[in-house]
Amino acid sequence: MEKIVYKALKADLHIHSIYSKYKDDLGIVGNCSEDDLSILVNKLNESGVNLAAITDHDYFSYSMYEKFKSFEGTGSLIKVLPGIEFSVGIKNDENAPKCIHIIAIFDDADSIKLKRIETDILKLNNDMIDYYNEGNLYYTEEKFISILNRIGLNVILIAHQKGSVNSSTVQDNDLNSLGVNTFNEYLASEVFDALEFKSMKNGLFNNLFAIERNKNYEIVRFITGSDCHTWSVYPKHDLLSEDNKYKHTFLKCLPTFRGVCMAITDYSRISLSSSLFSTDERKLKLIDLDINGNNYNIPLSNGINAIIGDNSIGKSLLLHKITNYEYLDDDNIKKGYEQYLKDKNIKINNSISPSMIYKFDGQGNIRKRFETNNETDNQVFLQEKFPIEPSKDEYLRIINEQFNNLYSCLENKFQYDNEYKKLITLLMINDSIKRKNISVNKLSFNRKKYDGFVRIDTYLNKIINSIDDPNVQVNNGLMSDDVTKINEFKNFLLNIKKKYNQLSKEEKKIYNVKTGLNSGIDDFSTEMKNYKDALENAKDLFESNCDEVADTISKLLIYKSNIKSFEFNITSDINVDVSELRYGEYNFVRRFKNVKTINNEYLDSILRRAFVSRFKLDSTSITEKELLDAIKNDNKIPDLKPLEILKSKINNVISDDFSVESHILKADQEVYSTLSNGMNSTIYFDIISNDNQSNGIYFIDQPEDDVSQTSIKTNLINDFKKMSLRRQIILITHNPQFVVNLDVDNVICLSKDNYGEIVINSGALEFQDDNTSILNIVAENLDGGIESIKKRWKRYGKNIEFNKRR
Amino acid sequence: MEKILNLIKEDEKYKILIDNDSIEIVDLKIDSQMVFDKIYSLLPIDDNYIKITLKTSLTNKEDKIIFDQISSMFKKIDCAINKQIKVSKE
Repeated sequence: MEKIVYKALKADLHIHSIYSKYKDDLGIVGNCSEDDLSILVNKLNESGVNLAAITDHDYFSYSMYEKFKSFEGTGSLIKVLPGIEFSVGIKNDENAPKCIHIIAIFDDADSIKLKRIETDILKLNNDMIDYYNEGNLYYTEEKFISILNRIGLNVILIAHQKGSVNSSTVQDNDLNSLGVNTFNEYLASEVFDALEFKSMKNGLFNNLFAIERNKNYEIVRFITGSDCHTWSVYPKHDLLSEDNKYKHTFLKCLPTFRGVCMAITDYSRISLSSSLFSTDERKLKLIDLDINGNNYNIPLSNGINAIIGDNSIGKSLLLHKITNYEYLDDDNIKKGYEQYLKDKNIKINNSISPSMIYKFDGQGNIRKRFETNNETDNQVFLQEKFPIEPSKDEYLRIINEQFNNLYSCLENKFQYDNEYKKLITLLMINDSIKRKNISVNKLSFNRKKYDGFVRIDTYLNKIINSIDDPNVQVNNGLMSDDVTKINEFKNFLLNIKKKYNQLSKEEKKIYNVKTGLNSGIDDFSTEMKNYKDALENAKDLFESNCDEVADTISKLLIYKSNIKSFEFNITSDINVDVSELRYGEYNFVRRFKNVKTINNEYLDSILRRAFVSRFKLDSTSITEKELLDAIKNDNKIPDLKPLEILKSKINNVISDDFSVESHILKADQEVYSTLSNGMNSTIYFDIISNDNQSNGIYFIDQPEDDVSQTSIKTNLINDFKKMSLRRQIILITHNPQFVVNLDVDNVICLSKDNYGEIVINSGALEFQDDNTSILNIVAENLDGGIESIKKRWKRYGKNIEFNKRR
Repeated sequence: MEKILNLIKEDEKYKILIDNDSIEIVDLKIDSQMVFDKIYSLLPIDDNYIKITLKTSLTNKEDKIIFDQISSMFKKIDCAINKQIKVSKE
């Protein structure tokens, strides 16, 4: 047999055989005789059942049990236990006896006592069960206790509670048919080791009930039982049953009565799933060591391994050595350990790397830590426990999409405004001016006439100049009459010249006037020509302006059609994720600073915070200037357009809203700063026991040193149980609570034999063989061990013998 | 749909009559913002086509010149609008 539990046992402790015929219809159990056992065993193997018991009504057939037991080891079936389903009249709330069915599973260690049940205790009377109860078909409570005492075997009692405990319809023979008060009394007093249900649904309700009504819900344990009466249809009740949803219970125990007893009496060992431990690969499978040449392969459980033993025997050394002294700073201690190993001729052959380790809390470390209570240390510890930040990408995408719609809307409006301004006043031309245009011809001028007068003047001047002074010619004999005549002729010529000079001047004057006029006409013509060009230009300008206006109007049509009254349009609320990691009663929360729900109201609130108070955005009428005035006047960047300033402003608001805040809540109250300033070991264990973020093995050396006895009972036991579902734990302890109440999966005891040599025993609490009983070892080696085990082992008739050594 | 606009002259001032409204032309100046506003009010909501036609009963040669210019302007606008309607509809 294995020393520790590697695999959960699939159990069914409630199966009937033909010997239930004294109570039930023979028709449904008729084919369940000893000769038919192979049918049952095949069915059990098909279902993968490892542990089973035939529990007939108020009757026990040893031969049936013996034959059934002979199938152990065939297929999945490992263990068969003896059992009876008793009918017991228990007084209800009205003090009237009510028949309840109680499954009793007996210790199989004493076959003589088992045989006596059939021959001496539950004898048939005229082939009928004798209840000694005035014709009632059940035992009285007193008779039932007397029967158990007479049987004299350790027994596990499982009360019938097939129906949902809070159902309005109470089923016959269920424990809750006794009434609420009696039911609760029985739960609280733990008379029964467990309650049995059948359907998953009822199991769920039963567990919920247990949690709601009994804060200390570990006192209530529910298991399933098939109650099969017809083996051929196992796990159904009988041929007429329709329920196909039966789920077996898995028990974390060795396949022994003691193992089953310990499993049934500890809620953490019972499950509807076969999974016992975390799937984290970071586990140490064994400790391989040699002592004086003897090799010990100590198997380690994937759950909780408790190392116990005398002081200074080497327990802490063992932890430090297998972790390569990675967590030991004191070289002197290390040297001392190595010397001890040498002296005792101990070789530890395997070790693990830090990457396999979640945490190593050496002896006294926790006390030391909380004595100083350094705020920075606390913060580092706490910060490691926060969940990863919630992702904001998708939320920002949604929000930005909405705001981009707003920006497009505003941009369109501003583009519209700008285009609209381009619509100029068009100036038409009155083209009639052109048609009334005066065309002026230049004056002609006859120059020939003027030139003739100029030539006559030249001719006359030539003649006049050629006439010498006649008075000079007197000396040459010219006569005075002739002198006179010549002078008269000259004067005549001068007069002619004068006449033509006058004519020439007149012509010249006409020329000058005409030239002036023509010059004016030229100027006029030039003016007229320019005037005509301006008209053409104006005409062209009008045409091109018309083109531009048409083009602008074309754009405006689009902008105008897109101008609309903007509203955010998120159709349903989007709840924003909060990252939470719960460590017991501490909730580590990472959430966004100022946003819980994304909806239109939230988006409006972003806008409100970007704008001055009381500003109401109307996207159909707002201008860029109005927008600029409306944006809150802090850090406006002058060179940016108003819309860009708004975008920047809104992005800042969103960014601030989505900044991540860290909180630690206890009962919805913020305790982050309180914890940073003052942690204690209870909080520490609360938090790390619930840490499912980091994998690896947890090593702790004497956790009891740092916590009060009360706190161990009320907090730490549960903390370590929870932690063991997530990781392998290897702890050293001297406190029996950390072994028995914690219900560790493996006890490793280092002790010295009579010769002072170190010996190592290990195994599950229930493990016992010819040489070793782990419970005995715990009792012997831990102060208060016996008391703890007795408290744990307190059921009806459960006895354990201790050989306390000291 | 087709919208007929009318160019008239009152007190020596030109006016374009649009349904129950009008655009006044002062000193041969025509306000294109006003034109856009009026035209936009004429646009069909569902129809994907509009024809804007300017008519007049004025026969004077001078009036004709004015009419021609305004008519030309509306033709350009009409063309741009319908092109845009077509584009936006597609």
